Amino acid sequence: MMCQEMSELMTDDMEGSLGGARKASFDRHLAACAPCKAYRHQLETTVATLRRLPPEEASAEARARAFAALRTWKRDLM
Amino acid sequence: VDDRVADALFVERLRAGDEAVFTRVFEEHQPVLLRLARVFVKSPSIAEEVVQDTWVAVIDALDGFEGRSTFKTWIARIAVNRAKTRAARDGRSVPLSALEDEEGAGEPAVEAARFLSSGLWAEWPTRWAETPETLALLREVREAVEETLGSLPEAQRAVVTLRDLEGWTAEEVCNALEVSESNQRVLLHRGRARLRAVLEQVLEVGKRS
Repeated sequence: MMCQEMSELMTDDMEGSLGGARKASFDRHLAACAPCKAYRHQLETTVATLRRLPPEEASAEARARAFAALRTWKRDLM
Repeated sequence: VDDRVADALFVERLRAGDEAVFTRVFEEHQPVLLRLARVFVKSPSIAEEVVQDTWVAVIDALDGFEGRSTFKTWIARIAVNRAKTRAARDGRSVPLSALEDEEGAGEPAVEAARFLSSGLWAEWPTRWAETPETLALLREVREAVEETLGSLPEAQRAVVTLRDLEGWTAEEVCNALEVSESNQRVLLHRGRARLRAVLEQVLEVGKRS
């Protein structure tokens, strides 16, 4: 397995969907190849960075409208 | 299964009009619904309208929630459908199978020029010194991510948004977006590869200046 193929299999491996001989040869390459290890680390850092971006804020208006909808619904229940 | 039991309990409280429970549900899910709406509707104000309509639709549909999917994937599906409908109405053409299309499918994860003809790296990637905590605070990084997300095909952006920005599992994403497991993986692969390439560029430029 060459580096270019490795780069296309990274997500499959991170998702746990590589198996058997393919997984074994992927792991062998990764353990021995510094640039592929660096690439993997970059990918993992990218994912971890995305996870840490601040969430979108709810506006006061959005909140007010959602609660108004709930109250209308509740009134209709009575 | 625990999720489902918890869902069933609080959906029952919601149906009874419990505002304290609704407050929790709203605060927990509003951010992801907004991000999801932005995938299909580019204008932030229209995305917000879509999310507001989603809440109204969720409340109206509470009696129909059967717990076959988790509550969060159920409301995400409602938001996606409403956002797509709105985008279509506003004249943005959304293919029927927008989430199944294979836009950019032929594109490699890493541009071919980075490799020798043998398939070995020509220009080696280097280990980034910055931690994710640091990167997430950098203005250049945030802007580059925002811009790149905006340029991704919708299906890729939707998957990356739920998996990586929101931390959902693959199963939840497949369920919310109604895509197959293997398609989810392909979309995630392409989306992450693009974002990595952009961050690499940002970090390289930073090093040189």
